[in-house]
Amino acid sequence: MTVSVKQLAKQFRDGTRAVRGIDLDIADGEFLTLLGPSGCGKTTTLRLIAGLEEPTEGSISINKRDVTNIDPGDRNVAMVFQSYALYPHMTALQNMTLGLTVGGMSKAEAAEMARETARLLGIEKLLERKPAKLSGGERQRVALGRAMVRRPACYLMDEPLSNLDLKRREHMRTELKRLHQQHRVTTIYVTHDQAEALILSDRVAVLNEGTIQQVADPITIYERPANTFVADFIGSPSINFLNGELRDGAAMIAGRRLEEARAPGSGPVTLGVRPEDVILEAPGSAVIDGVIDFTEPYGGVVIAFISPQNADGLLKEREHLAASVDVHQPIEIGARVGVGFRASRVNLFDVATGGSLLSN
Amino acid sequence: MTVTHGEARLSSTARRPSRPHRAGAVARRQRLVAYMLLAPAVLVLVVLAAYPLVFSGVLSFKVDPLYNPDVAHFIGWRNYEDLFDNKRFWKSVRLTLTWAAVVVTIQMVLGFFIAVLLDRQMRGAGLLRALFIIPVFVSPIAMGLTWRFIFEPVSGLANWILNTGFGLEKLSWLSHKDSALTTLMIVDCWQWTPFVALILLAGMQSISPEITEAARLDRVRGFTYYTRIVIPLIRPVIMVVILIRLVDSIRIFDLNWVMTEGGPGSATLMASVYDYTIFKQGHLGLMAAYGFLILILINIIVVAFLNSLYRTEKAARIAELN
Amino acid sequence: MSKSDRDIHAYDNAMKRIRHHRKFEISRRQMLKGSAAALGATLAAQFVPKEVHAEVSGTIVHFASSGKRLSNSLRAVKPLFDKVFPNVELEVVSKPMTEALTQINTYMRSKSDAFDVVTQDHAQFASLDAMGALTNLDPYLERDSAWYEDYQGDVPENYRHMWNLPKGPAPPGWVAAVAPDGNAMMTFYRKDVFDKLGIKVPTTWDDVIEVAKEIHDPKNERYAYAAAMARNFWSGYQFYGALRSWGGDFFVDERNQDWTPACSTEEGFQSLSTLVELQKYAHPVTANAGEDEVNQVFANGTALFSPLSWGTATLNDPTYSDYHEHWHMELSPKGTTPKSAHRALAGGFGQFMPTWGGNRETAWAWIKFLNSGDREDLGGSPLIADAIVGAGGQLSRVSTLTRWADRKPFFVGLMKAYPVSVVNAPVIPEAYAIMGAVGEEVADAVNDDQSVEDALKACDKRIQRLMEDAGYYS
Repeated sequence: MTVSVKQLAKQFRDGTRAVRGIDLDIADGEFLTLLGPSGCGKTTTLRLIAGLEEPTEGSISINKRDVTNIDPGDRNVAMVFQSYALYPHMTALQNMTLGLTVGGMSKAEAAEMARETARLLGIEKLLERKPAKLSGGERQRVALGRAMVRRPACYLMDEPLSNLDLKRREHMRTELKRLHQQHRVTTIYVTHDQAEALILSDRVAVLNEGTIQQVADPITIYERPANTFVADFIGSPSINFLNGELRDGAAMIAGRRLEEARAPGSGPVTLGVRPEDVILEAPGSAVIDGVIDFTEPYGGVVIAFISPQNADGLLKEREHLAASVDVHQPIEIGARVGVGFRASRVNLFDVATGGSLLSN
Repeated sequence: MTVTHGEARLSSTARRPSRPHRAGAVARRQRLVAYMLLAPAVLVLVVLAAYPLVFSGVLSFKVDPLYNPDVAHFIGWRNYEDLFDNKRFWKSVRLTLTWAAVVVTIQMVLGFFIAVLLDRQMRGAGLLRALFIIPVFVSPIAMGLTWRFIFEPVSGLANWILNTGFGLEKLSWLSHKDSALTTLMIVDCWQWTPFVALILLAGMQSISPEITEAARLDRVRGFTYYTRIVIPLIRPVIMVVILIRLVDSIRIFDLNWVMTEGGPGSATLMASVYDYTIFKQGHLGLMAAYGFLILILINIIVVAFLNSLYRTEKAARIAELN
Repeated sequence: MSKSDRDIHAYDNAMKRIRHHRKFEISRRQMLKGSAAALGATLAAQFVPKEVHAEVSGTIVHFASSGKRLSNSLRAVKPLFDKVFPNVELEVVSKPMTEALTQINTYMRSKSDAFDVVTQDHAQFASLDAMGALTNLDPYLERDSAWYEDYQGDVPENYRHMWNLPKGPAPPGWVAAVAPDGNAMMTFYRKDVFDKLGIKVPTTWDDVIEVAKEIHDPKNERYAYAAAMARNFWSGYQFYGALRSWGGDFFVDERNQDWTPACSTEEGFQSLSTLVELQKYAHPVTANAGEDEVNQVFANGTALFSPLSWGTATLNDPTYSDYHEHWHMELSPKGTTPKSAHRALAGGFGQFMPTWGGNRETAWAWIKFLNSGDREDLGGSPLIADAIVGAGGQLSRVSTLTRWADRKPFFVGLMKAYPVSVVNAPVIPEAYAIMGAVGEEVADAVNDDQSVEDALKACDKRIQRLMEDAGYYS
C-alpha cells in the first residue's frame, strides 16, 4: 500500500503555515520516519495524511486512490497516538475490537482477531483490564494492537514511544522493528528522536519549518546530509562546522589542503566534520593545533572539546571542536594536541545556502 | 548487622509504652476542637431546618384553622387518613411524578441533541451560549404570566401565530384539562432545556480531543460515537444533571400556580400547588401532613432512583477490582 | 357645562396628561396610582371644605387590595382628605386581591399593629371577629349621631347589616365596619347583541341556557358565556349564587343555627347541573378564570353574557373597553321552583380598625370622610364620591348611585340588587374555607372530572368535616 503526497500545504486559521509544500512518495511496506525539531510540521503532516486536518493545498493518495477529501475512518489507515488515546471506559479487548465491530464484524470474530494480535504483542493476559489499570508500556501496546488489528493499509505513529522511560523505549523500539520486518506494513512514523529514526526506518524525511530538507536512508542521511540543517540535526554529539576555502577542487583549512574533500568551484566553504572523523595527533604535525579544554564521557568514547590555537574564525559559531576519542586512549585536560580530519568523510556546504556541494 | 528474632522483639516492646498515650490525647483534643468548630454550623442547621420540620410534624397531627385559631385541637392520624382516602391527593402525587418523569426525560434528550449541535468549533459559539442561558435567569413568575398571555386561547399570541400565520386550528392550551399539563411542560422545557444542554456541552467538551480523533479513525461516527463513546464518558455529568432537574421538577410551584393554580378542575394540581391550596383554605394541619407525605414519598422515590443509578456505577467498579 | 360634566372632563384630561407624559415604561400599578392621584388633585383643587381640622394629627396606614375599585379610589380621595386634615399623614398600602385576603388574615392572626385601617371583604368579618381583630364602632357612631343617621338613611339596611356582628337569629348586633363600597353579583349582558337578535334578558336559569345557545358563535370568536370558574373560591361563589337563587343554601338553616350541610338537595342539583350545562357555551378562559380574566374577555368583546358575575364598574369606562356603552346589568336570574327567588349575592369591602392599630380618632375621621356622602354640613361633599367613582370605585350610598346612574349602567344594576341582596357567604369564620372547598368540587364537576352527584356529596362531606372540627356539632 503506497502513500503519496503532492504539494501538501496547511495554513491554520491563526495564520501559522505549518506545512509548506511537501512531496513524498512512500513505497509499499516502507518504514518512513518524519524527523525534525518541534514545530517543523511533522505531526501536522501525519495528521493531514490521517485526515484529521484538511490540507490548504495539495493532495494525498493512498494506494493510488485520492483520499484528500475522504473521512479519516474511510482511508484505511490506523493511528497510534503519543498519549495512546485509549477509550478509558472500555477494556483493552473492547478498545481493540470497537473499530471492527462498528464495521459490521461479529463480536466473536473481532474478539478472535484481537486475541491473535494481543498474543503477538504479549498482552493477551491484559485484555480484560481497563486502561487505568495498565502501565504505560502496556497501554502503548494496546494502542498498537488497536491499530494492528484493523489490518490497515498504513500505520501512522505519532511519537508513540515518547512517554516511555528509556529502557521501555528501547525494548519497544526493538519490538516495532521486529514487527515491521515480520509483516511489512507501510508505516509513517513521527519522532524528534534521531536515534529512533535512524534505527527504525527504511528512509528518513527530515523536516524543518514545514518543508522537507532531505529524504534518504539512514546511512545517507548521516554520512551525506543534504544541508547544514540536516547535518547539524543528525548526529550526537553535533557535527563540527569549520570555515574553509575551496581551491582547485579541494577544500583548504588553515592553509592545509584536504585532497579527498573535493567539490567543484572555488571560494569560501563550510566544512562539516563529525567528531568521530576528527583525529588527535601530536601537536605541530596536523592541520591545526589546539588545547583540550574539557571532556565528556560518552559510554564507549570520550568527547574532547578542543579550542584551536592560532586559528581565528576557524570554527563556525562555536568555540570548541569536538573530537570523539576511544575511551581507552589517554587524554589530559589542558594538553596540547594536533587535530586532523578524515578528509574522505568531510562534508562541504555552500556558505550562503548551506546546501551540500558534494555530488550524491 | 544481624539481630536474632527474640532480641528484636524484646527491644521493640521496650520502646512502645510512651507512644499510644500521647497519640490518644492529641487525637482526642483534635476531635474536641473539630466539634467546637462545627458547632455553630450545626446549630444554625438545627434551628433553620430541624425546628420547622419538627413544628410541621406536630402541626400535622392537629386541626388548626388559619382563620379560627381558637378551635385548634389534636386529632391524631386523621389528617393522614384523610389524605390517603382523598382521590385528589393521589391525583396530585400521580401528576407530580408523571410531570417529573416526562419533563426530565424531554429536557435530557432534547438538551443532549442541542449540546451535540453546539459541540462544534464555530464562530459566535460563545454568544450563542450566552443567549441560550437567558431563560434560566428569567423569574418563573414573570415568565409564567407572560406565557399565560401568550397561550390565551382566543386572543393570545400562540394561537394567533397558529391560526393567522399558518391557518391551523386554534388550540386550547391551558384552558382544557387535556392540554393544560402539556402546555405547562412546554414552558418548563423551554426554560430548562438550554441549561441541561449547556451542562452536557461542558461535559462533552472536556473529553480529550485525541479520543475523538481515535474514534474518527476507528470509523466510530454519528450515533454510534455518541452512544458508545460520549455518553459513557460523561455519565457522571449526566447523573448530576438528572438529579438536579428531578429534584427541581418535583418541587414545581411558581409556574404551576401562576399559569393555572392547579386547574382547569384538577388537571394540573401538582404537589406544591395542592399544598398551597390547602393552606389558602386555612387547613394548617392538613397542609403540614401533606407536606410530610410528599417529603417522604418523594424522597423515597428519588433516593431509590439515584441508588439504582449509582449501583450500576459501583458494580462496574467492583468488577474491575476483581 | 354642568359641574359633574366638568368633573368628567377634568378626569379625562388627567388621564390624557398621564398618557402624554409616559416617556418611559410605567407599570400598570403606577399608572393607576398616578391617575388616581391626578384625579384627586384635580378635584381637590375645586374642593372648598366647610371646616378644616388642623387639630387632628398623626400617621395612619390603610391597607387595601390593589386595583381601581379599592386602593386606587382611596388614593383619589386622599388629596381631598389632606385639605380637611392637613396635619394627618395618610399612607395607603396595597396588594393584589387574591393575596390580600390571605395576607390580612395572616396579619390579624399574628396581632400585627402595622395597619390602623384595613379594607376587607365582608365575608371575612366573622373570622376577623374570631381573631379578636375588630374594634366596635358603636361608640363612635353614637357620638357622631347626625352623621350616622344620614348614613343609615342612605345605605339599604340589609346591605348595611352585613357589617354587623355577631350574626344570628336577631341582628343587628354591633357595627364592625362602615362600607362606602358595595357590590352585587348581577347579570351582565351586551345590550347591542341582545337587541340585534331580539332577545330579552333571561330571568330564570332555564331561560339563561336558551339565551346562551342562541348567542353562542364560536366560529366568529363570540362566546356566549364567561364566568369565574377557577378552582377556588371563585367557582364557589358561582355555585353559591345559583344555589341561593333556587332557594337553597350551604346549611339547612343558618339563621337558626342548623348547620347540617345542604348541598345534596334538589336546589344543589339544579344549580350545579346548570353550571355544567352552561360550560358548553363558555369562553375558553372560563375554566381557569378569576374575575379579572372574565372582565378582560367582557372588555375585549369575545364574551357576551354572564348570568352571575361580580363584574366591574369599569366595564362602562371608555378607557377600559370599546364596548363600554353596550354593557348593561340586570338582576341575576332565579330558579323555576316555588322556593326560588331573585337573590343577589351582595358583597363589598368595608373599613375596620384593627384592635392593635393606633391613632383611633384620626383613623375614625378618615373612615367617616370616606363614607360621608354629599352633605357638606356633615363634613361630606359630592366631590368625595366623584373621586371614588372616578377612580373606579363603586358605592353603597343610594344618593350617589342615583346621581351617577345615567353614566354608569353598573350602578343601575346595583340599585336593583341591593334591596334583594343576601350575604355572599355564610357568616362564619369557616366561610372562606367552605368557599374554597366547594369551589374545588364544583370546578372538577364543570370540567367533567366528577359527576354532579359526587360533587355535591363531596361538598357536603367537606362542609361537615369543617364544621365538626370547629365544634359546631358538639
